[in-house]
Amino acid sequence: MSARELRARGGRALLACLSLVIGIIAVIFVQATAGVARAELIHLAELRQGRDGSATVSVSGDALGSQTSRLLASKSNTGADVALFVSDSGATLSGGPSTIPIIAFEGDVMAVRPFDLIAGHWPTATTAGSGMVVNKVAWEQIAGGSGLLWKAGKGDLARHTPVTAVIDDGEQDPRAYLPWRELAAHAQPIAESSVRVLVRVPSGDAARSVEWLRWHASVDQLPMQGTIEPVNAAAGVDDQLRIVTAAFLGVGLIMLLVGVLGVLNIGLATLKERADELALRRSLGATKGDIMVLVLAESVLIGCAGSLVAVLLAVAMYRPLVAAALSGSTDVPFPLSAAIYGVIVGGLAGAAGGLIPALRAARTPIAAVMRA
Amino acid sequence: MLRLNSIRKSFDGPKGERVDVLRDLSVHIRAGTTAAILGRSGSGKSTLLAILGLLDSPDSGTYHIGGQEVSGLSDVALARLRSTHLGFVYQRFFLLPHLSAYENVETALQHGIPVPRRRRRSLVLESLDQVGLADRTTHRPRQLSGGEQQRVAIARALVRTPAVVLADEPTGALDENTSEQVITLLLTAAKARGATTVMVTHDPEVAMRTDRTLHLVEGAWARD
Repeated sequence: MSARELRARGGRALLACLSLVIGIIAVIFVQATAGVARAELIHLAELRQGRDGSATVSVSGDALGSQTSRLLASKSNTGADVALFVSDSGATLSGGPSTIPIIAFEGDVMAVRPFDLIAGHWPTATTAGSGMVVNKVAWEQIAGGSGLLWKAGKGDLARHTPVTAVIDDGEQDPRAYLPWRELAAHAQPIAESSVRVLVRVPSGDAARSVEWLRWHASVDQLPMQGTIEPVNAAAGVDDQLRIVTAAFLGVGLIMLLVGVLGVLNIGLATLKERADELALRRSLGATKGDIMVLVLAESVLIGCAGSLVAVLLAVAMYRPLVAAALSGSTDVPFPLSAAIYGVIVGGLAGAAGGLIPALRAARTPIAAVMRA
Repeated sequence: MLRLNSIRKSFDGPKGERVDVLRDLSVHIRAGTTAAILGRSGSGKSTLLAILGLLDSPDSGTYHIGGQEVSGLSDVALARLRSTHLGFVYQRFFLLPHLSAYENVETALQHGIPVPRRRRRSLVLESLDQVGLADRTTHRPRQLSGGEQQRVAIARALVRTPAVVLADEPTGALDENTSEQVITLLLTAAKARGATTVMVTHDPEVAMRTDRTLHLVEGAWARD
């Protein structure tokens, strides 16, 4: 019945529907982009800090060698992924316009710090010694050159090393990565250097990772510098996003409110021309509740129709506008949850806009209208 | 069938004064009979019809339909009574312009006690057939003449076979010839269904076609 009544007032129904579309699109976009932005920010945080659920601590460079080897060997017993990073190894890579610091590493790097592999392959135990990994900033700087020289510390040792992989490590500065054992084979480890240890237990529980690291640090007597910290990338990102999302959602809701007022306005204007119909239905046995439901159902239908239009427009605009801007890729699917959210919001907005007209419709003075 | 006892009704006048429209009005209309309420404009006949049709309530007095006192009933109970016991025919037809003749008649079955779809169809077609519009079921009101539109309204009023048919100036918008046909149809069809018919009119010739004429002057009966 409601759909038929809506068709009869096609122009006004369409206007009411359109007044909601912009607001619903805004709400859908906030919902959809919040998800993509969260995933992107978490990914960026994981590139820099390590995978969510890891634990990290700095230990003295003195520990490099037998102590860190024992720590790395613990993986075979517990399944935990362990990796070491020596940022201030003193080794540098030259061959481009400027020298690039070399970070020495050991262990399951990709398991605890999921670098994006842009080209080549991450060196494994079998491939170690055959080359070096650079981040994309460094790669642009050295312009894919071969015959790169690296030197360790103040020594004059120089090696020609091909680049075997290019990665995105989330850093804005050029970085090169070299297996620590290869670096150590050609240079004395620098005693003042510090080693960052990153551990992640199979369950991905940060607290358990912290416990794991604490226990093994104690057993292996690692000379820790500072305390063991959990890596909670998602929590940090959520804190960052909460205010931004709330602000955008607020703007979206204001736009939606304008749409609701549009539905309300059109609903009230329509009541006058529907007075005959409503009074007739009351005389034929419709209760006040029936009339309320009739008018409210029409508004909800308008809201749902508006939300369907909004979802279609949002899907069409999403990839070129939002996904590309946030992730740099158009290959990001439109989140289904945002579409469902949009339809629910549209229905609720329709109901909100139709409530006052519905209450007024129920109070239509039957006798006065029928006499007029 | 319909029993009014000491009904009073007043409205606020344009200067805020109370205007008595119905004054201590009592009447008993027996089941299956036809009655006409005659009166000049402003005599209170439409207000009386609204009270008879449960579209308005009196300020005081009692009203019984089929022995049931209705003054204390809830909105839901009154709506149900309207749907099951009463049928309305208006001067302005009150047909919904976007619906066909069939759909307009069906409207009367959409409220109140539900009627199964298949039963609904047979009732609507039967009612339209009774008023001679079996071949106009898909026509919209604008595609029908005034007389045909009023016949659709009569079909709608009778489709639930109500105990009472209330008609407010049913020929007011029709020419003389058509009026005659419509009144004949209304009275015949209502009688065929055993309905009590109360008709408000200002036309004495129409009133003469009914079993009983009630003359309303300034909210009170002039003669019976």
